[in-house]
Amino acid sequence: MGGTVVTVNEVRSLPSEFAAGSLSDVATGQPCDAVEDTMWAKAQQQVNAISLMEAGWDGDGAPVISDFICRSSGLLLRTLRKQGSVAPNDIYPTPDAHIIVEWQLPDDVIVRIEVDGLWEGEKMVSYPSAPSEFERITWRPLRVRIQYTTDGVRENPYCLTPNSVDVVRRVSHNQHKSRKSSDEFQLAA
Amino acid sequence: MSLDEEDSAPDPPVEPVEFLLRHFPSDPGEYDFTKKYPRSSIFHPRKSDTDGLSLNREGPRYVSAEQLRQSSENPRIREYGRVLAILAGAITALNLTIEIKPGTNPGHVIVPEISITIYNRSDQDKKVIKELKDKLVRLAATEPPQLVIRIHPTPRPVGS
Repeated sequence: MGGTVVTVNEVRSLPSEFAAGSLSDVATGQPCDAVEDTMWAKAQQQVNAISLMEAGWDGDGAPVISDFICRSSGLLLRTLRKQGSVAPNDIYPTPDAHIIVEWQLPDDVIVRIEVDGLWEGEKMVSYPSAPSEFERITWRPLRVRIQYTTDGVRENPYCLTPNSVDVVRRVSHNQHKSRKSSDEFQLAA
Repeated sequence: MSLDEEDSAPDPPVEPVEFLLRHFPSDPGEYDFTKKYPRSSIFHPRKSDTDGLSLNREGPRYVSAEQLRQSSENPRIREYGRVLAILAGAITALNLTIEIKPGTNPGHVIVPEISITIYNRSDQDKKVIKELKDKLVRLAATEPPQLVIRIHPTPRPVGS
């Protein structure tokens, strides 16, 4: 899996007034933390809604958005939130069955992360009067669900592609025997 | 020239002041009119855009935005979808071409630089088209509002 681990520096380096929790929302008077919580919850709901869309949703034969693209998008949201990012403005599918997570930032900067694979995607930062910047990014789960079988350890099915082998820690046979099936296991950093 | 002859005559060249239409789904959710820029996916080439991005000329001789919306095969687009209207001159100002190409609806045109064939050709081509999509959605911020891009139907006034 190529690219760098996700950081949305453009989002994180916003002036302090945009940082989560630093202001009250003008409309509701709620602390920004509460507003941010709502926005992140809405973002996840949007991914859930995308996962339910039927084939042909674009009126031109677009396929359904695959489960792993939706799960990867959900994990991206959790990763970004943990990193202190502000919530995205919009999340939407593309006709080639990817998901775009989008921020429309001050000064007309637009950041889009197009989730196009298992825990990976392309970050595009576009400016009003300069060429866009593109970067391949990856993100990884901090916790994976481990499944134990009689023939050894099987990690979460979403960890089983060759590309993702490097992001999960192998669990020793002894650990495997001492745990129940479908236990959750914290990965080392 | 009789009316019949006028109907069968080839479409005249697209004028820069004409609006071109493209329908799109609002799913999931409603179209968000508070966003400054529309979704870039509106200009993403679809499965049938093999020779270019499909658009339809707006006008009495061609189609209205509502007629185009109602022509979609997808019932959800007919009910909840929207139609983006973009000024033809703004497209050509980006060095893009508008070609007349008769299709299902009258006044069908394509922008050949944005086709699914080119998009799927290479990573570099994908980036070029993503850049073009970005430039197109940014036209929505042109002042005064709705001069270059407008969305149909507009939201109903509160209380109606």
